Amino acid sequence: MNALRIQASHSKEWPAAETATNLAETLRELTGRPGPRRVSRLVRLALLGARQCLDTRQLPADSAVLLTTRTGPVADTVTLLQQGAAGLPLPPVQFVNVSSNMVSYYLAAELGVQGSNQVILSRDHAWFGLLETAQLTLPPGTPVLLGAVEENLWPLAEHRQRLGLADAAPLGDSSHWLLVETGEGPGPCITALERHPDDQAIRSRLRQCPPETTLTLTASARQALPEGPPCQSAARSQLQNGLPDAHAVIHWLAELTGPGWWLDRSPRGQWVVIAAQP
Amino acid sequence: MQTTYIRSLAMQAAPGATPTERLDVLRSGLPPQAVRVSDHTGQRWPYMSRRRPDTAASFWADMAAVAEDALNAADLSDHARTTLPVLLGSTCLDMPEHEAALQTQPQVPALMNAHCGRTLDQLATELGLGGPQFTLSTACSSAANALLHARRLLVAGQADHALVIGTEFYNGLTLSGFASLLLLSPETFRPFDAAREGLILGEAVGAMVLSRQPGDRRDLGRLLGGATGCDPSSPTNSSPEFLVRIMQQALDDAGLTTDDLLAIKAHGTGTPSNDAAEGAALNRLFGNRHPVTSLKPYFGHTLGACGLVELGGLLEAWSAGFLPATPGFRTLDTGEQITPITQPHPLPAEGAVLCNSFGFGGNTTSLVVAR
Repeated sequence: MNALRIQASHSKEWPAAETATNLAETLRELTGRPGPRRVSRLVRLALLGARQCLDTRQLPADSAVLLTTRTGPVADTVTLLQQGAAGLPLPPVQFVNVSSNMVSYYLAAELGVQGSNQVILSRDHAWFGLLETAQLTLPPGTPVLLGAVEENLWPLAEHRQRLGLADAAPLGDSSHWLLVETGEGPGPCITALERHPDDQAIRSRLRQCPPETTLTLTASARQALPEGPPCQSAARSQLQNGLPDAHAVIHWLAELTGPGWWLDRSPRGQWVVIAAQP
Repeated sequence: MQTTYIRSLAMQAAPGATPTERLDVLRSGLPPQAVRVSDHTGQRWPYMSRRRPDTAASFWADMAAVAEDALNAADLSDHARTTLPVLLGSTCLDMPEHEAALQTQPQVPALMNAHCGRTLDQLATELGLGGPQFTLSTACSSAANALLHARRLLVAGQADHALVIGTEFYNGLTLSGFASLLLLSPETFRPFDAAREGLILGEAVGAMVLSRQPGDRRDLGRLLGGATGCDPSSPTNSSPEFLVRIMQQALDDAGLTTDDLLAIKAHGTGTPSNDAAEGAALNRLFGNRHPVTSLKPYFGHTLGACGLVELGGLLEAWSAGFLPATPGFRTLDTGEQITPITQPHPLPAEGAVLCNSFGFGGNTTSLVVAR
């Protein structure tokens, strides 16, 4: 088992106002520079979050960047679809920006890293999938910056309709980051990542849980285990248009005071378990 | 070093839907007839497809049929099917469906039900596949990265088998976007040639089952290793130095040296910047000692799918004893440093081949396959 040693984290959500905030200005305030020109909101959110996660750290050149997102650069994609439907030529820069991996490219360019750079997307357990990728596919000793970013799109009512959300559903931008290093070593770390196919399998697994372990369950996990053991509730995202597991796991890791398991259940009944220690 | 076995392959692409059809095309050295499609401004472009690619009607059906064929050919148990990881490499994802919806339901917002994981989830549900899902979206290296990711999951002991799918389906956004970048050729697709005019896009879906253990029947090939990295020097161009580094890392991962290779399947897009960088990198690392080919003129540039469908075409041709020629190549451009083969080249039954896939966003991936 390749442990993931936690070096730093940052998690931020920006509930949406009626109009979009100027992220270039926020980026300038934080870093002293407005960031690259002609990039998507998603790129700026990634740069903002990653910079705050890293603070003053410099990453080695062989560091990996793993990114996930639910809707990707949705604003540019919608704009280009509408322009195409109207028979207009597509602006080349905006077209290049609709590829989700341009986010991780600009991040790599900003941070000067050249290692594995992947955008990995999943309907369920997307953040777990990134952790699993770091654990299983990268050699020990690799610094890995993991991120989950989501850009909001205005007008809000239309975006809620696009995502199938209720009229008052809270929307916004989000940027969640975790810096880990693969391999054994001192300090807080994720010690195991497990997938279990159904409720029966997770009940069986929970019977083997060491007694000193604190369990933290998401709402869907709690619902499926009404008779379940004493546990804490996972932190809930304020937003309904992001990847809630990224938000919840980063907050859980930050607040761990002893060995813990974090459990989540997908709508299809599949489970994931993250075991960690402070 | 652990080997990963390519247990099965299924594909629908411009050269054909059966191995026999595809072999005939690859042996001929002539690309299939392109169809003509219009971009958003009405300009017409050649496009490589087995059909008239102007509807999304068969998008889901084609993908499901190819994946099912690959699963059946791999002869997996029911239990293996319900637990195997499924990986998708694609840039278009479900864009054809979104474009169709925009036409038929202009009153609803564009990109309804947007979710980057939806395409693979819907496919896995239809096929009854219950294992983990990973969609890799790294532009034109997407499917190559999906294959490498699957190999690493298998080597880590996470599963015994993995299904890897590469898809690229026709959509107006991609066609018009490439037209706006001035990368499309109005007529011919001629990688590395002095008279090249750009690339021709194509659509394809391919699927492979990878396994930790060899199958009862002879496997199509073996994935020995690979490497991937991000060249931060430019969002759209590659640097020869970075390509050399990744190709060398791929060889190291496979436990091979340059002398162990039989041939190289280039990314070979027929665009000046890619051809120049890849040619220089190949020359620097291999010194023109190996036969080099580009298969894109046969398949079209299938973007997110190309790393898998071109590998499939290569392995099928190799199983018939040859490396396909590069259609359209006649004259080396001034300053180019690599000469692709212009006739089918005999390949020994056993050996290794390097396969390149490069994408926008600096994504650079090389795989080493063997038979």
